[in-house]
Amino acid sequence: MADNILKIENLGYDYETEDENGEVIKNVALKDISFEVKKGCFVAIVGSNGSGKSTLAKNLNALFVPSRGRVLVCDMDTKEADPIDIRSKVGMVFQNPDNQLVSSVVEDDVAFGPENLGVDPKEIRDRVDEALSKVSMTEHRKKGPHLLSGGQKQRIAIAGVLAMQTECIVFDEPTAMLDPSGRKEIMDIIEELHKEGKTVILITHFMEEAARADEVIVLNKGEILFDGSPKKLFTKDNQELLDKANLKMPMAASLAAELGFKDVVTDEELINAALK
Amino acid sequence: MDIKVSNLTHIFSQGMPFETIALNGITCDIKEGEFAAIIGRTGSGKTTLVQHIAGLLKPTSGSVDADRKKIGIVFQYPEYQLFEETVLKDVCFGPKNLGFNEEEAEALAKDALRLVGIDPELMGALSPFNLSGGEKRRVAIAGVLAMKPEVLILDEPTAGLDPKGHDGILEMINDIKKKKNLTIILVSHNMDDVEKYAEHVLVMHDGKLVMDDSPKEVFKQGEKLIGIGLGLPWGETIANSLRERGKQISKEVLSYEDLLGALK
Ligand SMILES: Nc1ncnc2c1ncn2[C@@H]1O[C@H](COP(=O)(O)OP(=O)(O)OP(=O)(O)O)[C@@H](O)[C@H]1O
Ligand SMILES: Nc1ncnc2c1ncn2[C@@H]1O[C@H](COP(=O)(O)OP(=O)(O)OP(=O)(O)O)[C@@H](O)[C@H]1O
Ligand SMILES: [Mg+2]
Ligand SMILES: [Mg+2]
Repeated sequence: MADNILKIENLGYDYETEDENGEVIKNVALKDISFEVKKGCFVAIVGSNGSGKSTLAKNLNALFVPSRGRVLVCDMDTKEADPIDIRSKVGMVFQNPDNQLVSSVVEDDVAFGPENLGVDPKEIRDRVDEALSKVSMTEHRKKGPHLLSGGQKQRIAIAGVLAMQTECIVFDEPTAMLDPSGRKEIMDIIEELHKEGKTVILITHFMEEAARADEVIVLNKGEILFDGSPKKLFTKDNQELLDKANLKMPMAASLAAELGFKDVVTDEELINAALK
Repeated sequence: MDIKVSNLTHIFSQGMPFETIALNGITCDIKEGEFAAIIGRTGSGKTTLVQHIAGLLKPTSGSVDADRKKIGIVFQYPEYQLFEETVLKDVCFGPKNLGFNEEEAEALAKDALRLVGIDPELMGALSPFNLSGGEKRRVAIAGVLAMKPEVLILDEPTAGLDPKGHDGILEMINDIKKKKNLTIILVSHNMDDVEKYAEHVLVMHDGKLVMDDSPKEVFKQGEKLIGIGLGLPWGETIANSLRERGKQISKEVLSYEDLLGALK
């Protein structure tokens, strides 16, 4: 098998909706997107509101199938393969956890994904316990998800995907509703998964999170505007490109630029440069 | 109009197995024209508190003194606030309810949409349910702005907005606050925003109000904040790491600008 877990070829995606008069409106959300993701890579996807990030994410695990072009997951074409086979490879944490939480008890919710993949019930128990403890929600396991706060729901949604133990996980803005320590915990989990060899795709509006990825893809109006390393993206020379995509430099990178430090995009790199 | 919260307690599912004391004896004042921020880790009671201020929940005990007609609230998940067929109708709903005629309501709605960066000519006729996450949030904020409230409560309004949108919305809110002497109550997990905009910070922990002070005083208590799951503004965080690793920084550093000044 190729070492690419994802291969996206000229992907296009249209939403079709009806207006008040019943006329079909076509909204071209993705245009001619091509990229590959190697196994074990950590890729961040950034871009303005409405640029197509979530639409792209949903095309990666067969929730949507391409209107044009194709998406290959471990060499399986998402248009032809059984969606279960795709979803056993690529798990997804949705932007709004309410769209993901389906059961009336937290631990059943976390078990739902692995059950759907046909995992042995005894193993499911272990996986659920492990996943809940990873997101620090063990004490809430018997509660109803609807009784939890926004950030707590987010963690349950993440646990649900961890329990599926897929090779690749797509996180759609997983830290948007979290407090600072929760954000740090989730970013630590993501980096840990990456170190364990999992492929991670992180959609985020936090540039300091994107700065920690191996590769950043910038979407703009459904097209790829940039695809490369964070160090290449977050430079003063790219200000125009960043403006166009409603993005900013991470604070560490812009401070480094003002101080004349080279090759600094993360906080850690800034601290090291400032100590020299 | 000042807002007075007195000994407010809220218990969810009282007497049931999962009884939760979401608010435990909260007393605080929010003054007219003030930019107040509420911070606290997830589940600490922020949303429950602002819903009481907006009059959406009934206290288990204690009370809130406020004129609810003058309060507008943008919920944490904007999806729940959108229900009309089109974006424009959705934003018109509030002003119409307040008695404005069709034409006036539409003018108010279009102004509000422009304020949040949504072009009413381009997106006004779309269904709000077909928008991206951040677009929905912008429309929800517009819906509340269109009613011209005197007190604007925003429950994590910038969660899910792109970086430019994030700054833009906060700048806009701060702008209208200054021009119209609005009272702002912002629930936020972003310490940099709180440091930059807030004049008054309320810190919640486990249903209790544990700090009630100016941002400067609150962010002086770094260890305490980190201990209850919060963070510090970015500049202060980096300055602290540098100090720990032996660098001399004598000046007080909170913001990005402070740090730049200290390292120049
Ligand atoms: N169900 C839908 N029907 C029609 N159009 C849609 C639908 N969902 C999204 N769109 C449109 O498709 C485009 C891309 O939306 P998408 O949700 O992928 O954006 P995004 O980059 O994830 O944005 P955000 O940062 O706000 O989450 C937007 O213009 C949006 O309005
Ligand atoms: N409808 C409900 N029924 C029972 N318990 C609830 C309900 N809503 C919230 N809670 C609980 O009340 C507590 C406070 O919740 P609240 O939503 O006010 O937190 P929050 O500070 O806004 O958190 P977040 O930052 O995650 O939004 C939490 O422990 C939560 O689980
Ligand atoms: Mg999205
Ligand atoms: Mg909340």
